[in-house]
Amino acid sequence: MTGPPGARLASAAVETANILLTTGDARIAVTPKDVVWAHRKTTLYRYRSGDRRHAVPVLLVFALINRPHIFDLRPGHSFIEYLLAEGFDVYLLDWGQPGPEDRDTGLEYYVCDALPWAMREVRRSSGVDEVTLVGWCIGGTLCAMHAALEGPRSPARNLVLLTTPIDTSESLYSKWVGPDHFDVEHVTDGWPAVPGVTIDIANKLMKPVTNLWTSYRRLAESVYDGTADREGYQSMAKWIADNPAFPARAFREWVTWLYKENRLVRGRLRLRGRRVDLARIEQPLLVVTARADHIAPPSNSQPLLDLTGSSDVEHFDRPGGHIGLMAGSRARREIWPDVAAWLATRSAPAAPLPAA
Amino acid sequence: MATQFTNGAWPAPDSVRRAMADAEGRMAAGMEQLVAGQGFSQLLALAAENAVALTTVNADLWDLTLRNLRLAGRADIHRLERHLNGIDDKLEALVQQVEALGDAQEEIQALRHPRLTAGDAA
Repeated sequence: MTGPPGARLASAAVETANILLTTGDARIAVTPKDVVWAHRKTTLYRYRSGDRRHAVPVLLVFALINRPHIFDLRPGHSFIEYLLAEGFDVYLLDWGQPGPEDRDTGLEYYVCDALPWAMREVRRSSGVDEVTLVGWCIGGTLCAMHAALEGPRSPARNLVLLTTPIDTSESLYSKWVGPDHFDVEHVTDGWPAVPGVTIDIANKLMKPVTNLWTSYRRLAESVYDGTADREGYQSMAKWIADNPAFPARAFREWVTWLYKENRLVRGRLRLRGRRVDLARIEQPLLVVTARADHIAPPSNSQPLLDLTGSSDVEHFDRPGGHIGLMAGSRARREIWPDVAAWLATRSAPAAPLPAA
Repeated sequence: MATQFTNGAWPAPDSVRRAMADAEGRMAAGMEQLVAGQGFSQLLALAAENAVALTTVNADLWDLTLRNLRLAGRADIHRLERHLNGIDDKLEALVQQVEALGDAQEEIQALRHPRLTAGDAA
């Protein structure tokens, strides 16, 4: 952009506004996929690799806040696309958009029903008896709970947990919702599904200046300099703005069990009468933490390294934030190859590969 | 921090940026310290309660209005949707039973006619 500074500034302001106003048009999650199974709001998708080299399929499980599209943000910046190119058969579990009618959906639905049922469908459709679980944030906690509950009976061959809260004692969230003055019963009595936007506001308030000002300022500056990555900004902004509601019962249990009572790490969490014992996780385990993560800081995930019963445990602690670590511009170079390499050595076929 | 001006009119972009980044950094650190305090946590809890109360009053008011107009309100629709959830659960259980029976039948067939099933697979 050339011309007098005033004109350049005005032009940059208009372009910045245009980027912000047309964010909804960004194309995200465009990798071709098939619906394999659906139940209530939950949908299981399959992404077929044209060059399948690893027997054990990968099931991606995202959090109950935001959508799983972050795994497939945009062409060239998609973890799913990367795994397919590396020869993995990839499945994605999408929790959908819960509504007030799902107020009674608790954590047990996700851990004891939806996740095992999805794994069953993955095994049926892939023709392979084992599945690698890759969970991100709450999705990672759900996967860990499943493996801890089922122990060796679980068909999970490997467990990969990305920025996953396990021990919540040292987190900002526990300061906010842990004390008695945050009455989670009152919130869930009034909201049958906790609006996603409220959780988004809370997330943004964790770093208010960075989230509410700096990101916009950086965008405007990059537009002014002519270095703006329009697609990159819009795809991420569109994903951030898509906030499904959190079913009331699951929210109450999540806040009470994980943040008020920290039950998981104390071995006092029970689902359908069965104890969730992290020592029963015997699968090869990869824990990935981000040093600048303010939502699930490394101290939230690291205790699992000592509590697990697995003899094959690896920990990647990398620079980055809660989402940026796996979906940022450097992820393709700095973390995806390491995760794929870890998976590749643990995804050898137990039997000949079935026809695709 | 002094801001340098060029041509007497526009501030030099670099110096403005440095000044802004500096102020922003201090503001961000201050705000992060603020939101980590107990006072903010209490304020947030109260704000959440207020938001819940407001949406509840609003939803109740609209439901009452619609019911008086003999129209289905959100509560009625949610009741129907929950009913559908129940039906979905039963169907899923049924599908799983049928698939389990199908698997068991295949295993029995394989035991009874090993050569036939091997030929089919080929």
